[in-house]
Amino acid sequence: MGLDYSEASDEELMAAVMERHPRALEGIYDRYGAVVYSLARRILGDAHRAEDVVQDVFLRLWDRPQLYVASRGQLLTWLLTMARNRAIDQLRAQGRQQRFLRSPAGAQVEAQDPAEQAHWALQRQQVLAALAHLPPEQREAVELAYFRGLTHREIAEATGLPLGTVKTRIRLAMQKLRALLLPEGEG
Amino acid sequence: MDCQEARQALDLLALGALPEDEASPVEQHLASCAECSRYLEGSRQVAARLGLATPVLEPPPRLRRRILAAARGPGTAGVPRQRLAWGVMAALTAAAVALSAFFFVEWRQAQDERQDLADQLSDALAAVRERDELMQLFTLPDLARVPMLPQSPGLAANLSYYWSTQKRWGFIVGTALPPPPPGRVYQLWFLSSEGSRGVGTFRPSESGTVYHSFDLSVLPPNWRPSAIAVTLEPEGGSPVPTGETVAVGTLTR
Repeated sequence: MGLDYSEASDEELMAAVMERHPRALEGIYDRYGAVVYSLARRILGDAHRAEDVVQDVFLRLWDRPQLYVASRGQLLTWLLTMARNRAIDQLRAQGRQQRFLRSPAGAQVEAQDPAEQAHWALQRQQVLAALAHLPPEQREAVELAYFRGLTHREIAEATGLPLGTVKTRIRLAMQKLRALLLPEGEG
Repeated sequence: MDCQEARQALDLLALGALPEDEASPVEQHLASCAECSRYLEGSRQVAARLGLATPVLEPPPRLRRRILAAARGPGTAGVPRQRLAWGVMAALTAAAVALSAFFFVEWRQAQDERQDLADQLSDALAAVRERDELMQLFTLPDLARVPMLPQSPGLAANLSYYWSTQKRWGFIVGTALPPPPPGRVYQLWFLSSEGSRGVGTFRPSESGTVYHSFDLSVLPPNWRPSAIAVTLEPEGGSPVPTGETVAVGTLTR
């Protein structure tokens, strides 16, 4: 088939993955590998363990593409959700205490393709701008949940707040983020 | 559980903050409520975008090779696995397969490490070359030209950005840029991994030509942007990029 893997849509690439074309997985990795890696690395603070997470996620997509198809969501959402959950599982295995610490930064190599870097920098700006709309306490609650993997009870414990307050902060934060980040009609 | 209760739990679920022992009533509700299933997909999209609030780092080249080799190689679900014969033959074949697999893995790891070193060397040389070119560009007293690539397939605009870092001044020129939609303007950004800085807004002439100069003294001194971008923003410009990316130019080549 004459599919151009760098230009193909996510749907076309996934259809080719279902037909077992390894170059389609290559196309998906080239498109999203760096963002998936960067998220895993931010959560884990460790380059090697981030690599393991990325490998797990992409091989899972290759081995069981029907899991993604069944989710009926966007490919990037699926990849980031999987990577986040895998990374948090590892963090949990590491022990609870460490999850309250900031991830060490380590040596970092920025994405090399400047056009790609510009694309993701814009995406990042949009998310940071949305987060900047949240009151600091709501933002903290969301970040503790997403990047540190704390449940609402653990957040209540860590911050000394009543559980109801934590739930309310997360609900309000998600309502606002939904309005700012989802395309109209999907909110 | 009604939809209102479910949605609070679904936001928590999407963020990964719902304890496992609270998941089952939510799952039961989801099984019978299409509306809440759609809501969950929205929450998942929002949560996943939080993951993009992270500077993008380049994974090492070995990771790409490792993933693709595993996808192409034996042992993944998509590749039919060979069935071994029964009995003694099976044991012998299995031993031989294990042995050759062992050597194959060893050999591949050695190849992989050699390739890693070669990659690192070529990355380093490329980085030095790029830096040299960049140094030359920045020490030139005259202007540098940055071609800007349109980001949507239908856009035929031909845009270039010329700038002088010494004079901290630059201008954009171009042809065939369509007028912005009502209430919107084009805005030019300088970008680095640390963020973006808007340097000004502009509109094309009626014939679609662009000529607009920008004072770059708004950029912090010693800040090294790696790319420039044009986006569509609300009239008057925006403090951070929010709209569709129209064209992107790279400053490192």
